[in-house]
Amino acid sequence: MSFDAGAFYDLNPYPDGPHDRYGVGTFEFTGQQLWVITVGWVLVALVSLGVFLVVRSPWGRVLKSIREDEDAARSLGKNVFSYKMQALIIGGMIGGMGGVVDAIKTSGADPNGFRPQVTFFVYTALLLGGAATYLGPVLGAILFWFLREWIESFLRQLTAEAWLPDAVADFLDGAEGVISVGMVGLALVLLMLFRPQGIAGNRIEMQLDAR
Amino acid sequence: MLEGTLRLGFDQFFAGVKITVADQSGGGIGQAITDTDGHWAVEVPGAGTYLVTLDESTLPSGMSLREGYESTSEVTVAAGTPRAVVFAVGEAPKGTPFGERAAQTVFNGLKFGLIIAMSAIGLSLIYGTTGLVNFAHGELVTFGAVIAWYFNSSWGGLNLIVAAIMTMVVCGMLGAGLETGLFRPLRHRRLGIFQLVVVTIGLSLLGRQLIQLFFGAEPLPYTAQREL
Repeated sequence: MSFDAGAFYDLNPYPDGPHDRYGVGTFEFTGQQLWVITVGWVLVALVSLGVFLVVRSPWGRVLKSIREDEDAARSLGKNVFSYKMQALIIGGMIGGMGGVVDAIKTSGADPNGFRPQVTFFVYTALLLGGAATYLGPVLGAILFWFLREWIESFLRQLTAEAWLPDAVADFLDGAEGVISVGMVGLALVLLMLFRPQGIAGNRIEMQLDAR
Repeated sequence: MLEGTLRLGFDQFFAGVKITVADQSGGGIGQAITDTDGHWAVEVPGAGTYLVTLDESTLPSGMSLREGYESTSEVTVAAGTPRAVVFAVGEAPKGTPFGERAAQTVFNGLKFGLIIAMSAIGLSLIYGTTGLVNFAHGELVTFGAVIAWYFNSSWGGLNLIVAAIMTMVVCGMLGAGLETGLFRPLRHRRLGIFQLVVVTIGLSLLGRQLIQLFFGAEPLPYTAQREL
């Protein structure tokens, strides 16, 4: 389903002529792309700040106590179900914002485009940075997408420059995307093996459900 | 430009059929006669809406427009791109009889249900004994399918039943290897069930891409069954 994102792009403050390019070095964006990037990252900053404030508030402390010991929180008179529901609502809203930015970027939403892999990628980004941290998911997302794209273009470049023996190049040719997604899977396994708390995470917090 | 091809099936083309193009007010733009390949094309002055008329009297004898279709159709042309116009000629293609289709659907449903049920039994067995939600189970199923293909066609040309038995052995070894080599050590390191589930997600991504890397994304047909 495509839709008209014109109203969003009407607010674009960057001149967007056919020859307007923004960026540093090899990174180049059109005015429209830069506008989506700006709005996206401002949303990330706002949401991160919001989550930071909310988790430090009394409400956030109740959430933490529910995570540590649900029965204890309940015995202190807290409505566990209601708190969990509120956390889910907020999480869903933040996820929905991501979907909106994604749909605006492509001027369309295709239900088939949101395969289980999207969820898996989000998990990878989250765990790479570190679950149960404020900036871990953001850091993880940047690193994850950078590595994925980097591996893919690195392999493309290798085959294009003919630095590899022919047999290896034939094997790799056209499989760059496949390999880079496979690498994501391998990275997830290795991450859980050697650093389950992620880059910025706290190992103690990750072992809460270990018996 | 407006264009089209008049044909019956993929081998019979209609030559000599007259097509007239007019603008919305009825003013003539041009006309064309289909060539021996049934193809016709009319240049139009630019983007806009045009009326395209097929002269029914010039159709080969015995042929007429399909019931419910008009001889004139209104088409909108965008600037710079040729636009195809569709006329339905001759009788509508006959569908497969209902009984045959129903039987085919039931058979397909049974076949698909069988595959899902077998996979589900395996998944349930793993969940029941280890408490692990195995997201990589579909990849194990796919692995079984491509390994059976490998034994059956690519490697030995073995009888499908023999190949299936060998596949079961190989997949059993894979499962045992995953348990002893990966999941048991991880459990001993006191990893939570969440981390184990994430490992299976990683295995799922990795396994799918590996299978695609080595066996490709095209359907692989088993060779016909041979005598034992």
